[in-house]
Amino acid sequence: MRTSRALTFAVLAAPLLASIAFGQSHFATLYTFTGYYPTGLTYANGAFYGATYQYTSCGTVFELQPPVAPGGAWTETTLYAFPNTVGDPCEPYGNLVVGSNGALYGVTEGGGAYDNGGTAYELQPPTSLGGAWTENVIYSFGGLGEPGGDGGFPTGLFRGPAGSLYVTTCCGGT
Amino acid sequence: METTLYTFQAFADGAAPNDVILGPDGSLYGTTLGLAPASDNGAGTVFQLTPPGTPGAPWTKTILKSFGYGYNCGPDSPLILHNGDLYGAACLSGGGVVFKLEPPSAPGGAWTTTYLHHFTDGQVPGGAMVLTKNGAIYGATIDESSGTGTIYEIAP
Repeated sequence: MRTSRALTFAVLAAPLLASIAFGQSHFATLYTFTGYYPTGLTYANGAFYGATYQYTSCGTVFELQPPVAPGGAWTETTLYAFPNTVGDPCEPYGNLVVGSNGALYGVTEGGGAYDNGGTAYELQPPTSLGGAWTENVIYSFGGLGEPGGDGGFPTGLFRGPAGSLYVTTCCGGT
Repeated sequence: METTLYTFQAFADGAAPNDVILGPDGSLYGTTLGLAPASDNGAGTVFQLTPPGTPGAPWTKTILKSFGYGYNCGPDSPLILHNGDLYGAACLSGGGVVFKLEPPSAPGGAWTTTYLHHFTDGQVPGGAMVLTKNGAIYGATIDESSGTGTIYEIAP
Protein backbone atom coordinates (compact mmCIF):
# COMPACT_ATOMS: atom_id res chain seq x y z
CA MET A 1 0.00 0.00 0.00
CA ARG A 2 2.63 2.39 1.05
CA THR A 3 4.72 1.97 -2.03
CA SER A 4 1.80 2.68 -4.32
CA ARG A 5 1.05 5.96 -2.59
CA ALA A 6 4.52 7.11 -1.75
CA LEU A 7 5.91 9.88 -3.81
CA THR A 8 8.68 7.96 -5.34
CA PHE A 9 11.00 9.57 -7.69
CA ALA A 10 10.41 9.86 -11.23
CA VAL A 11 12.74 11.03 -13.79
CA LEU A 12 10.61 12.66 -16.38
CA ALA A 13 11.67 13.52 -19.84
CA ALA A 14 14.36 16.15 -19.73
CA PRO A 15 12.83 18.27 -22.50
CA LEU A 16 10.05 19.18 -20.11
CA LEU A 17 12.45 21.43 -18.28
CA ALA A 18 13.24 23.42 -21.33
CA SER A 19 9.89 25.15 -21.26
CA ILE A 20 9.96 26.02 -17.59
CA ALA A 21 9.45 29.65 -16.71
CA PHE A 22 10.52 30.44 -13.17
CA GLY A 23 8.76 33.13 -11.20
CA GLN A 24 10.38 35.53 -8.81
CA SER A 25 9.89 34.10 -5.37
CA HIS A 26 11.78 33.48 -2.18
CA PHE A 27 12.19 29.91 -1.06
CA ALA A 28 13.02 28.76 2.44
CA THR A 29 13.07 25.41 4.18
CA LEU A 30 11.42 25.99 7.52
CA TYR A 31 11.85 22.59 9.10
CA THR A 32 13.37 19.20 8.31
CA PHE A 33 12.00 15.88 9.49
CA THR A 34 14.47 13.01 9.75
CA GLY A 35 13.19 9.46 9.66
CA TYR A 36 9.58 10.42 9.10
CA TYR A 37 7.67 12.17 6.36
CA PRO A 38 5.08 14.94 6.41
CA THR A 39 2.08 14.26 4.18
CA GLY A 40 0.56 17.72 3.96
CA LEU A 41 -0.10 20.95 5.81
CA THR A 42 -3.09 22.63 7.38
CA TYR A 43 -3.07 26.10 8.95
CA ALA A 44 -5.08 27.10 11.99
CA ASN A 45 -4.73 29.58 14.82
CA GLY A 46 -1.20 30.68 13.98
CA ALA A 47 0.37 27.27 13.55
CA PHE A 48 0.67 24.50 10.98
CA TYR A 49 -0.64 21.02 11.56
CA GLY A 50 0.02 17.83 9.68
CA ALA A 51 0.48 14.09 9.80
CA THR A 52 3.60 12.04 9.18
CA TYR A 53 4.27 8.45 8.28
CA GLN A 54 7.29 6.35 9.06
CA TYR A 55 8.12 2.77 8.23
CA THR A 56 9.11 1.71 11.70
CA SER A 57 5.97 2.82 13.48
CA CYS A 58 2.46 4.07 12.90
CA GLY A 59 3.15 7.74 12.35
CA THR A 60 2.43 10.97 14.14
CA VAL A 61 0.38 14.15 14.12
CA PHE A 62 2.48 17.28 14.56
CA GLU A 63 2.19 20.98 15.20
CA LEU A 64 4.72 23.40 13.72
CA GLN A 65 4.95 26.74 15.52
CA PRO A 66 6.61 29.78 13.95
CA PRO A 67 9.68 31.24 15.62
CA VAL A 68 9.07 33.66 18.47
CA ALA A 69 11.58 36.10 16.95
CA PRO A 70 12.25 36.78 13.27
CA GLY A 71 14.86 34.41 11.89
CA GLY A 72 14.50 31.96 14.73
CA ALA A 73 13.81 28.27 14.40
CA TRP A 74 10.40 26.73 13.87
CA THR A 75 9.35 24.32 16.58
CA GLU A 76 7.82 20.96 15.85
CA THR A 77 5.79 19.28 18.56
CA THR A 78 4.48 15.74 18.24
CA LEU A 79 0.92 16.02 19.42
CA TYR A 80 0.19 12.34 19.08
CA ALA A 81 2.04 9.20 18.06
CA PHE A 82 -0.23 6.41 16.93
CA PRO A 83 0.46 3.29 18.99
CA ASN A 84 1.38 0.28 16.92
CA THR A 85 -1.34 -1.92 18.34
CA VAL A 86 -3.87 -4.04 16.54
CA GLY A 87 -7.10 -2.18 15.82
CA ASP A 88 -5.68 1.28 16.41
CA PRO A 89 -5.33 3.80 13.58
CA CYS A 90 -2.02 3.55 11.76
CA GLU A 91 -0.34 5.46 8.93
CA PRO A 92 -2.11 8.82 8.87
CA TYR A 93 -2.34 10.25 5.39
CA GLY A 94 -3.65 13.35 3.72
CA ASN A 95 -4.86 16.59 5.13
CA LEU A 96 -6.08 17.34 8.62
CA VAL A 97 -9.22 19.25 9.43
CA VAL A 98 -9.13 21.52 12.47
CA GLY A 99 -12.45 21.67 14.28
CA SER A 100 -13.86 24.79 15.90
CA ASN A 101 -13.40 23.05 19.22
CA GLY A 102 -9.65 22.69 18.61
CA ALA A 103 -9.90 19.01 17.80
CA LEU A 104 -7.99 17.59 14.83
CA TYR A 105 -9.58 15.21 12.37
CA GLY A 106 -7.85 12.99 9.85
CA VAL A 107 -7.72 9.60 8.22
CA THR A 108 -5.28 6.71 8.33
CA GLU A 109 -4.51 4.21 5.62
CA GLY A 110 -4.17 1.36 8.07
CA GLY A 111 -5.44 0.12 11.36
CA GLY A 112 -9.01 0.04 12.51
CA ALA A 113 -11.53 -2.62 13.24
CA TYR A 114 -11.47 -4.25 9.79
CA ASP A 115 -8.09 -5.75 9.09
CA ASN A 116 -6.14 -2.58 8.31
CA GLY A 117 -8.83 -0.98 6.15
CA GLY A 118 -8.02 2.39 7.65
CA THR A 119 -9.82 4.80 9.91
CA ALA A 120 -11.11 8.29 10.39
CA TYR A 121 -9.98 9.60 13.74
CA GLU A 122 -10.38 12.55 16.06
CA LEU A 123 -7.72 13.97 18.35
CA GLN A 124 -9.08 15.97 21.25
CA PRO A 125 -6.73 18.54 22.76
CA PRO A 126 -5.58 18.08 26.34
CA THR A 127 -7.78 19.53 29.03
CA SER A 128 -4.79 20.92 30.88
CA LEU A 129 -1.65 22.59 29.57
CA GLY A 130 0.94 19.99 28.61
CA GLY A 131 -1.50 17.13 28.93
CA ALA A 132 -1.95 14.35 26.38
CA TRP A 133 -4.17 14.48 23.32
CA THR A 134 -6.95 11.91 23.24
CA GLU A 135 -7.56 9.71 20.21
CA ASN A 136 -11.04 8.60 19.22
CA VAL A 137 -11.77 6.40 16.23
CA ILE A 138 -14.72 7.93 14.40
CA TYR A 139 -15.01 5.23 11.80
CA SER A 140 -13.22 2.11 10.62
CA PHE A 141 -13.17 1.46 6.90
CA GLY A 142 -13.93 -2.00 5.64
CA GLY A 143 -11.15 -2.52 3.20
CA LEU A 144 -11.39 -4.63 0.10
CA GLY A 145 -13.60 -7.63 0.53
CA GLU A 146 -13.83 -7.16 4.25
CA PRO A 147 -16.90 -6.85 6.43
CA GLY A 148 -18.26 -3.39 5.95
CA GLY A 149 -17.38 -3.46 2.28
CA ASP A 150 -17.44 0.29 2.01
CA GLY A 151 -14.06 0.80 0.46
CA GLY A 152 -10.76 0.96 2.18
CA PHE A 153 -7.64 3.05 2.39
CA PRO A 154 -9.13 6.51 2.90
CA THR A 155 -7.10 9.14 1.14
CA GLY A 156 -8.56 12.44 2.18
CA LEU A 157 -10.91 14.19 4.53
CA PHE A 158 -13.00 17.25 3.84
CA ARG A 159 -15.38 19.31 5.91
CA GLY A 160 -18.83 19.82 4.51
CA PRO A 161 -20.94 22.93 4.95
CA ALA A 162 -23.04 21.50 7.75
CA GLY A 163 -20.17 20.23 9.87
CA SER A 164 -20.10 16.77 8.35
CA LEU A 165 -16.83 15.20 7.35
CA TYR A 166 -16.48 13.65 3.92
CA VAL A 167 -13.91 11.01 3.14
CA THR A 168 -12.53 9.75 -0.15
CA THR A 169 -11.23 6.20 -0.30
CA CYS A 170 -8.84 4.51 -2.64
CA CYS A 171 -10.30 1.20 -3.58
CA GLY A 172 -13.89 0.38 -4.20
CA GLY A 173 -15.34 2.94 -1.90
CA THR A 174 -16.54 6.49 -1.84
CA MET B 1 -27.54 8.09 -7.16
CA GLU B 2 -24.22 8.16 -8.89
CA THR B 3 -23.64 9.87 -12.23
CA THR B 4 -20.43 9.51 -14.16
CA LEU B 5 -19.41 12.95 -15.38
CA TYR B 6 -16.31 11.89 -17.23
CA THR B 7 -14.29 8.73 -17.88
CA PHE B 8 -10.55 9.21 -18.12
CA GLN B 9 -9.07 7.71 -21.26
CA ALA B 10 -5.61 6.95 -19.83
CA PHE B 11 -2.46 7.63 -21.83
CA ALA B 12 -2.20 11.35 -22.57
CA ASP B 13 -5.70 11.95 -21.22
CA GLY B 14 -4.60 10.85 -17.78
CA ALA B 15 -6.02 8.41 -15.27
CA ALA B 16 -6.26 7.97 -11.51
CA PRO B 17 -7.69 11.41 -10.75
CA ASN B 18 -6.94 12.90 -7.36
CA ASP B 19 -8.92 15.42 -5.39
CA VAL B 20 -11.14 17.75 -7.36
CA ILE B 21 -12.21 21.23 -6.30
CA LEU B 22 -15.26 23.19 -7.37
CA GLY B 23 -14.59 26.56 -8.96
CA PRO B 24 -16.90 29.58 -8.80
CA ASP B 25 -17.55 29.05 -12.51
CA GLY B 26 -19.13 25.66 -11.77
CA SER B 27 -16.16 23.81 -13.23
CA LEU B 28 -14.32 21.05 -11.40
CA TYR B 29 -10.54 21.35 -11.28
CA GLY B 30 -8.38 18.35 -10.48
CA THR B 31 -5.24 16.42 -11.22
CA THR B 32 -4.29 12.98 -12.45
CA LEU B 33 -1.34 11.12 -11.08
CA GLY B 34 1.22 10.17 -13.69
CA LEU B 35 2.07 6.51 -13.51
CA ALA B 36 4.39 4.14 -15.30
CA PRO B 37 6.16 5.73 -18.25
CA ALA B 38 4.09 5.88 -21.41
CA SER B 39 1.66 3.28 -20.21
CA ASP B 40 -2.09 3.19 -20.19
CA ASN B 41 -1.93 4.33 -16.59
CA GLY B 42 -1.87 7.82 -17.90
CA ALA B 43 0.03 11.05 -17.72
CA GLY B 44 0.15 13.50 -14.85
CA THR B 45 -2.19 16.35 -15.72
CA VAL B 46 -4.12 19.29 -14.37
CA PHE B 47 -7.60 19.29 -15.81
CA GLN B 48 -10.82 21.28 -15.90
CA LEU B 49 -14.23 19.66 -16.19
CA THR B 50 -16.76 22.15 -17.49
CA PRO B 51 -20.45 21.44 -16.96
CA PRO B 52 -22.68 21.14 -20.00
CA GLY B 53 -24.88 24.00 -21.12
CA THR B 54 -27.91 21.76 -21.05
CA PRO B 55 -28.64 19.23 -18.31
CA GLY B 56 -27.70 15.69 -19.18
CA ALA B 57 -25.24 16.63 -21.89
CA PRO B 58 -21.61 15.52 -21.47
CA TRP B 59 -19.15 17.50 -19.38
CA THR B 60 -16.17 18.89 -21.28
CA LYS B 61 -12.69 18.06 -20.08
CA THR B 62 -9.74 20.31 -20.86
CA ILE B 63 -6.14 19.52 -19.94
CA LEU B 64 -4.68 22.74 -18.61
CA LYS B 65 -1.20 21.32 -18.08
CA SER B 66 0.46 17.96 -18.70
CA PHE B 67 3.50 16.85 -16.76
CA GLY B 68 3.97 13.77 -18.91
CA TYR B 69 4.59 10.29 -17.59
CA GLY B 70 6.40 9.23 -14.47
CA TYR B 71 6.31 6.43 -11.98
CA ASN B 72 3.80 7.33 -9.26
CA CYS B 73 4.68 10.86 -10.07
CA GLY B 74 2.63 13.84 -10.93
CA PRO B 75 0.63 16.68 -9.50
CA ASP B 76 -0.27 14.86 -6.29
CA SER B 77 -1.35 17.86 -4.21
CA PRO B 78 -4.92 19.08 -4.02
CA LEU B 79 -5.16 22.20 -6.16
CA ILE B 80 -5.67 25.63 -4.63
CA LEU B 81 -7.84 28.03 -6.64
CA HIS B 82 -7.25 31.69 -5.81
CA ASN B 83 -8.22 34.74 -7.88
CA GLY B 84 -8.69 32.49 -10.87
CA ASP B 85 -5.19 31.01 -10.63
CA LEU B 86 -4.46 27.39 -9.76
CA TYR B 87 -1.63 26.40 -7.46
CA GLY B 88 -0.26 22.88 -7.10
CA ALA B 89 2.79 20.71 -6.77
CA ALA B 90 4.19 17.85 -8.81
CA CYS B 91 7.26 15.71 -8.88
CA LEU B 92 9.66 16.40 -11.70
CA SER B 93 13.24 15.55 -12.48
CA GLY B 94 15.45 16.06 -9.45
CA GLY B 95 12.58 16.33 -7.03
CA GLY B 96 9.57 18.38 -7.93
CA VAL B 97 7.99 21.72 -8.57
CA VAL B 98 5.45 24.04 -7.04
CA PHE B 99 3.52 25.61 -9.88
CA LYS B 100 1.01 28.32 -10.63
CA LEU B 101 -1.34 28.11 -13.60
CA GLU B 102 -2.86 31.36 -14.86
CA PRO B 103 -5.87 31.30 -17.15
CA PRO B 104 -5.57 32.61 -20.69
CA SER B 105 -6.42 36.25 -21.31
CA ALA B 106 -8.75 35.23 -24.11
CA PRO B 107 -11.10 32.23 -24.06
CA GLY B 108 -9.59 29.15 -25.65
CA GLY B 109 -6.00 30.25 -25.14
CA ALA B 110 -3.38 28.29 -23.28
CA TRP B 111 -2.89 28.49 -19.55
CA THR B 112 0.44 29.93 -18.46
CA THR B 113 2.62 27.82 -16.18
CA THR B 114 4.97 29.48 -13.73
CA TYR B 115 7.21 27.33 -11.59
CA LEU B 116 7.44 29.04 -8.23
CA HIS B 117 10.15 26.66 -7.08
CA HIS B 118 12.00 23.68 -8.53
CA PHE B 119 13.25 21.21 -5.95
CA THR B 120 16.48 19.74 -7.28
CA ASP B 121 17.69 18.16 -4.03
CA GLY B 122 15.48 15.09 -4.18
CA GLN B 123 12.71 16.54 -2.04
CA VAL B 124 9.33 15.86 -3.66
CA PRO B 125 6.50 18.25 -2.77
CA GLY B 126 3.14 16.65 -2.05
CA GLY B 127 0.03 16.73 0.04
CA ALA B 128 -2.13 19.67 0.98
CA MET B 129 -0.53 23.12 0.70
CA VAL B 130 -1.45 26.38 2.39
CA LEU B 131 -1.76 29.69 0.50
CA THR B 132 -1.84 32.75 2.75
CA LYS B 133 -3.56 36.05 2.08
CA ASN B 134 -0.27 37.71 1.21
CA GLY B 135 0.48 35.06 -1.39
CA ALA B 136 2.96 32.90 0.49
CA ILE B 137 2.77 29.16 -0.03
CA TYR B 138 3.58 26.57 2.61
CA GLY B 139 3.85 22.86 1.97
CA ALA B 140 5.48 19.55 2.74
CA THR B 141 8.11 17.50 0.91
CA ILE B 142 9.38 13.95 1.12
CA ASP B 143 12.71 12.44 0.13
CA GLU B 144 12.66 8.78 1.02
CA SER B 145 16.15 8.20 -0.34
CA SER B 146 17.64 10.47 2.31
CA GLY B 147 15.03 9.61 4.92
CA THR B 148 13.98 13.20 5.36
CA GLY B 149 11.04 15.45 4.75
CA THR B 150 10.63 19.19 5.00
CA ILE B 151 8.20 22.03 5.48
CA TYR B 152 8.90 24.88 3.05
CA GLU B 153 7.84 28.44 2.44
CA ILE B 154 7.64 30.23 -0.89
CA ALA B 155 7.18 33.94 -0.32
CA PRO B 156 6.14 36.22 -3.17
